[in-house]
Amino acid sequence: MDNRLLSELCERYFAGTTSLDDERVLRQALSCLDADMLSAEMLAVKAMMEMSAVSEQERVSVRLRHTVTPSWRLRVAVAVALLAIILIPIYKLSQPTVYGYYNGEPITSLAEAEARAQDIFNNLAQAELPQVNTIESLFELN
Amino acid sequence: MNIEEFNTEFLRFKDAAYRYAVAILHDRSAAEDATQDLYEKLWRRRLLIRHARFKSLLLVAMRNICLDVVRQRSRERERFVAESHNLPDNEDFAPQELSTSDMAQIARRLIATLPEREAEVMHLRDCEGLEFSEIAAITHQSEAAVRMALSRARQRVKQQLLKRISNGQ
Repeated sequence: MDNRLLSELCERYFAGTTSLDDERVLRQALSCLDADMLSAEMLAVKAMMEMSAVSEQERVSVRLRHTVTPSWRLRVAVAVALLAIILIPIYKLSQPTVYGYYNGEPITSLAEAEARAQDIFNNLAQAELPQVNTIESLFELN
Repeated sequence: MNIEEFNTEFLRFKDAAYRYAVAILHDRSAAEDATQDLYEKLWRRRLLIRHARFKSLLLVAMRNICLDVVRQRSRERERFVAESHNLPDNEDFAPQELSTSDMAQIARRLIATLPEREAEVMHLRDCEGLEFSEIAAITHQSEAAVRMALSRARQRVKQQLLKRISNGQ
């Protein structure tokens, strides 16, 4: 690459208008020339372009995870769900069976429920019902 | 991403994220902590992360972490530049006395003396080789602003290097 083109690329480099490809070409051109063949500005460009090589030497180590540890929130949610699944049926089973209601009060005894039902049927049987012997008498009632 | 994919991708780019943290925080141990912090934060969201643009995501997240650290404490930039490499700031040199990589080391340290934005942009471009569009996305600037900051940064570093070269001859 001739000096004029090299100088032009260096100027564009400092103006921030070079693309990555231009910079690659410039780096390659400068690396082929000895330091004593380069102007001070070109030396500065060469040094700045070597910074990426210098940077790559800087490394860090990181502790990696290889399994998923559930967060404490997830563990709490699962524990609450399990407790609910166990406790709700226990509570339901511990409650007495309600067979019906009498005057707004629940009837929890089977014997009492049967007795109340029998009373209701007896009352119905004793109620005065019209005598219907024939179909004609049914129409006469209406 | 599953666990293996996430760890593989993170290992590919962790050093770039670390170097970026060093460029912002100017403190290697804080940068190491920030890198581990970054891993933990992204680990929790790994199921939502896609392969494409993983490096950009990493650098954006690292930037946010570092800016939080910077807000919490004051930085001692001059102490880091002088102490970490045992090179006095005012040492001049003749170009034939130093190799290019030595000059590159000096240039790298000079970045730390630049204003924040310029240092950030120059690091991402000249040390990490990112495109202007990527740098603009990471630093929340326009591409024009990125080019301007890069140009100013390169000019400043050039002036410092030229001053030392001419004083050494």
